[in-house]
Amino acid sequence: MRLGTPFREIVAGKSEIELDGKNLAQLFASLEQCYNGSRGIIFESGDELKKNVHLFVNGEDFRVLGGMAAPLKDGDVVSVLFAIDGG
Amino acid sequence: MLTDEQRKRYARQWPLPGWSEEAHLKLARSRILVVGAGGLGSAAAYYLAAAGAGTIILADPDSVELSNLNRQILHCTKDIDRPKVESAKEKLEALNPECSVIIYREQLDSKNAHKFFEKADVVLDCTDGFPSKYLLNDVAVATGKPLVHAGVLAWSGQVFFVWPGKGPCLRCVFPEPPKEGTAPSSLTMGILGAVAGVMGAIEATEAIKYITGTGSLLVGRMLTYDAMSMQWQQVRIARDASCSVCGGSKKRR
Repeated sequence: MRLGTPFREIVAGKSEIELDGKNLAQLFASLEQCYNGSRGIIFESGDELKKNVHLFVNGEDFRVLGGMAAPLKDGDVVSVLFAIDGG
Repeated sequence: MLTDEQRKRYARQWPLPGWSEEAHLKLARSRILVVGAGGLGSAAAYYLAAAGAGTIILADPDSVELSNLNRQILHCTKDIDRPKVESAKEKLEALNPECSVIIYREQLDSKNAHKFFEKADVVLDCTDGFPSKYLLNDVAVATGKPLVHAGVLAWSGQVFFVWPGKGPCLRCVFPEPPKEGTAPSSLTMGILGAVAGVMGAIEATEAIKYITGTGSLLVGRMLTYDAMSMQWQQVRIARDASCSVCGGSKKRR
């Protein structure tokens, strides 16, 4: 999982972490187990993403891959991107 | 017909693959709106002027502050307290006197943004702040005007090309900005000037490519830059049919 800058504080500053999950929903459940409170930064409630966050699997928009049910295999790269507004 | 001086000034552009006198003339006749004369805008405007953009329309309401100078390279120490657009105009015209720089010491808002967009062939989002970024996106879709969106934070940057009707807009990927006060900013996380410079230069590049019809634009693709690990990533953004701004044939006015 590759993490956008606004998220890195909760994962001890890392830009990439390794997690297990057969699909995106399971992956983020793993994330929450490892980093308590991380879900609250990414999700509004349940599996609904916050409106300033988006997910990509191997560079593809997660919505076209099945949303949170998008299947994952070993080696896949999930990117969590946040809107950023500096200029 | 190009002058000898023009041939010399742009001598390093003539050999570019995909370039031609016709491409140069398109750029020389172009009108490019750069919204924001800060970190992104400094680099973007500078490279547009250097390449031979005909007219740069520059809008920014602010004056230069000392804390701007780690990244806003169009401004110098002597420009502190001076309107940014005046400082910028001076430097851009010194670089390329052929570039017409029209300045507005104004904040774009929902009342005046359409007027600015009408003046330009393409718009560069070099603003600082979610309200401005989302406003520019929404007006781009409403007017059908292409927009290069970019944002920077700390060691990171993101950029893509909003071409209304042909690809996704900002709200297709980030439907709404974060609640005020909940997102980190350059005040809390900082911004490295060189990162803003890189992203501003990419904005200028996309504008030049659009104007001249050269290369492939970042339509439906977002380029992300992590300078800390020096990694680039390209992600494909799907257009959202239910987007509140560009979904279907919807236009917001």
